[in-house]
Amino acid sequence: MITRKTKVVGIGALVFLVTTSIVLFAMWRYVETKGAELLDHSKEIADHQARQQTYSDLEELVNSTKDARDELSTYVLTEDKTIDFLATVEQVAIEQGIVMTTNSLEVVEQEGLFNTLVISFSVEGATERVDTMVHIFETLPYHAFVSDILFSYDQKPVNPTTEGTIELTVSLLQYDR
Amino acid sequence: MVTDVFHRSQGYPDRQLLHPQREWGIGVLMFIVVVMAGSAFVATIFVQYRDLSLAQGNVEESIPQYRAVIVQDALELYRARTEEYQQLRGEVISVPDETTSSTGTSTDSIGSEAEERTRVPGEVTGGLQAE
Repeated sequence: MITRKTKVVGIGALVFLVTTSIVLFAMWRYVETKGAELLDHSKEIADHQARQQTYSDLEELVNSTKDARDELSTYVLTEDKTIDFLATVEQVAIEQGIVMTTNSLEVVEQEGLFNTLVISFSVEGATERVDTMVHIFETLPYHAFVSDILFSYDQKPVNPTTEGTIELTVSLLQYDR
Repeated sequence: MVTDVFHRSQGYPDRQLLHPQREWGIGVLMFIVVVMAGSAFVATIFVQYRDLSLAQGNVEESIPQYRAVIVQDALELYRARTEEYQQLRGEVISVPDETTSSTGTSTDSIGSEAEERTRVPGEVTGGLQAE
């Protein structure tokens, strides 16, 4: 026999069960949502820490290698140093007693950090001095090399002379790349 | 289960409204079920977020490699080259001044006296080949 009190208690229990289930479900959803947010934040923090670590490593690397990089950069010609470079080359020719004129200057676009500056010189002078000049070109303290030579030798027994052209190829650093 | 409880022993109507042992048993059983379900739920949450502190950051920016050995090699090469360059500039070969004057010959007129030589690119020795 089910009394009214029993029914009330049963219905109350049922309502309590449903309410509790709904509250539990809501709590579960809340925990899930907050958990997902926590994961996102945790990942952002980890990314930030990783970036900070990377930045610190890079900063340390930049500082510790500054001297070497500065020295190395002096061996690479830049556009603003081109005029000085040509003046130096002409000065070398004067020192060697060679008549030298610049025939052409051409910047060849390249992929990567460097363009190429191709300079053609006409030279005329004593064979030994011209040879020394070529040797000087080959040992220029820049990332450069003698790419072509065309000489005519006057093979006189005394004071032989040489005239011709020298093509010098110099790497040119582009800062905006 | 409730139906079963209410309609139990229909041949012998149960006149007792309260069955303490049964209600306690049911209560304890439900308590155990709730505790186990809660434990499972909590364990799931725990496992899900247990490794949160081990999350690894991902840096998408490419970090340039600094090759110290290559830099050192290049520095040594260019130091030696600079030294040689300075030595060459320092020594000027003694040749009579007429070297700078025209010899009166040209490539065309040199003829048998002259030897024309052409070096093709890459044939030069001693120079640094750009890479």
